[in-house]
Amino acid sequence: MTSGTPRVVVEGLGKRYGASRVLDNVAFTIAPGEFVSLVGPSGCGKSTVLEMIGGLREYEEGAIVVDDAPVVGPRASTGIIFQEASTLPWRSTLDNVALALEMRGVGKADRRAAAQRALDAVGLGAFADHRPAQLSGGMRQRVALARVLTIEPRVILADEPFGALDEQTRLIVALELLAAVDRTSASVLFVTHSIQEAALLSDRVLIMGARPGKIIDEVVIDLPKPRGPELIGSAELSGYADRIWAPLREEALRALAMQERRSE
Amino acid sequence: MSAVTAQRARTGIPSYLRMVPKRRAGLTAWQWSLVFLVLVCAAIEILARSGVVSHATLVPFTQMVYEAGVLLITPGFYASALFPSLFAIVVAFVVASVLGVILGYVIWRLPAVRRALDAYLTAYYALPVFALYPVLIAIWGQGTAPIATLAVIFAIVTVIMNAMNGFDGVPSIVDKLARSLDVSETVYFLRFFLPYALPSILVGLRLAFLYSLLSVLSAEFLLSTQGIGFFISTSYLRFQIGPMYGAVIIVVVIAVGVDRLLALLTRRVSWAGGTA
Repeated sequence: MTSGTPRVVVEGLGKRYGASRVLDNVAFTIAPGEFVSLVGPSGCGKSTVLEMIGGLREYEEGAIVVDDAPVVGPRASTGIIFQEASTLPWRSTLDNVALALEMRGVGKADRRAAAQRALDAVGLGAFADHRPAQLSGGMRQRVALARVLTIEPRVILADEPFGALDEQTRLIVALELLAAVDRTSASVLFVTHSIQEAALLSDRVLIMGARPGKIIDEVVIDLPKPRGPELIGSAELSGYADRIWAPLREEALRALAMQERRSE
Repeated sequence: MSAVTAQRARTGIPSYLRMVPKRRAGLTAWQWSLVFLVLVCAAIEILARSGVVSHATLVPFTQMVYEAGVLLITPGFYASALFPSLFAIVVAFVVASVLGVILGYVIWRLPAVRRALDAYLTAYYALPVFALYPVLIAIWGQGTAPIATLAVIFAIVTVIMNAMNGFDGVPSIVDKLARSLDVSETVYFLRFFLPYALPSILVGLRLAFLYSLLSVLSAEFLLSTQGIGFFISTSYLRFQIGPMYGAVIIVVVIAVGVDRLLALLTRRVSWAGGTA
């Protein structure tokens, strides 16, 4: 699963805002089919890194290579799921899922068939005719996931996709995401601030420090897949969560102290 | 026990949590509107027929409708009153709508311009624009063009304001989504940005129609030789109260009819509340 040449390579990624350094020598790789989470305190730049890999944001220092090609902008083979619901309110669930294919000029019958398959895969097959306003927050994020699945992505970037959901919902929806993604060969970069979520879903968790943002530690989650809700609250998962939290705690305290100093 | 707690004890649900009933006293809101209309018409009928209000001031409602019917089978009424007014209203409405949305977008894109204009735009409808009408008509002369121009000037600002409100309401996630799908600027504008702003734009258009109508009729009242406004004002001056009310009825039917139509259209695209 995690063999061969890496699909995503990030090397020496850096960024400055004026005199202050925001990102410093961020470097990691993601293998084909690997699920990697990026956790870190608020404002450490994890979303910035994700947007740079997605081609939504320019980078000045370092290099990002996806499928052996340097990232210069958005790519057709990369799907992005955002924290905010990215559904268009005037479209039905089905047409929201079909949007990505529609923008690529795929015919109506083909894209709708693909959208229905993707909706079935995320368990929303019966909601094809609903409008986003009729769906819950968790369901809308599954619609966004289904939209990403329709393009058969090689890389999925998820930027705190369940951050707005309550804890119970988010873990269930997260496991559904994991199951849907595991059926593809996509590599996943999952940005989150939830340690439990990161431990539950990932093959590997990268831990970012703040000011400047850099990777300070890495925890390999050696739990068999598929993973189910019975893992939540288990001793194994708690053990991994503790290992992620240990380096993070100091960073979180430091980031908090800096924020307090700034607001004085 | 207060009335509120008494009610809560009775139903078990606090009043602010209970659903607003679709019917009141057995009738829907729409049916109540009809009841209200019938009552007003009946009141006019009774006041006029009983002589409480002089016949020189008010005619019975049935006569108003009859007079409207007479006007509608008089060919001269179309050529000299109805068509010139409708033409000016439609032209003003279309120009104000198209130009207003374009100007709204341009101003919205230029924050500095917007800040500079903001005070004027918000205060616009507090200005007595009508007071300037005789002056403006004196400058531009009579005819459809100046009347329509005045109506555009009056109606365009509400289009601009509502369009800008709509553009303000487009969430930044929409831009991110469009960029992640790698769509062109044009596709983004037409398929993502504009639809998001559409409900608010339509609110502006609905007002723009009423403002156009109001403005055209007022201008015709003051200084014109044709149009429904001119017809109403001359009928009044010649003590032809019947035809005057007939024309007023026609104007009311047109205004309410088009407004209902635009309201229906607005509701069809107002997905924000999930009621669409």
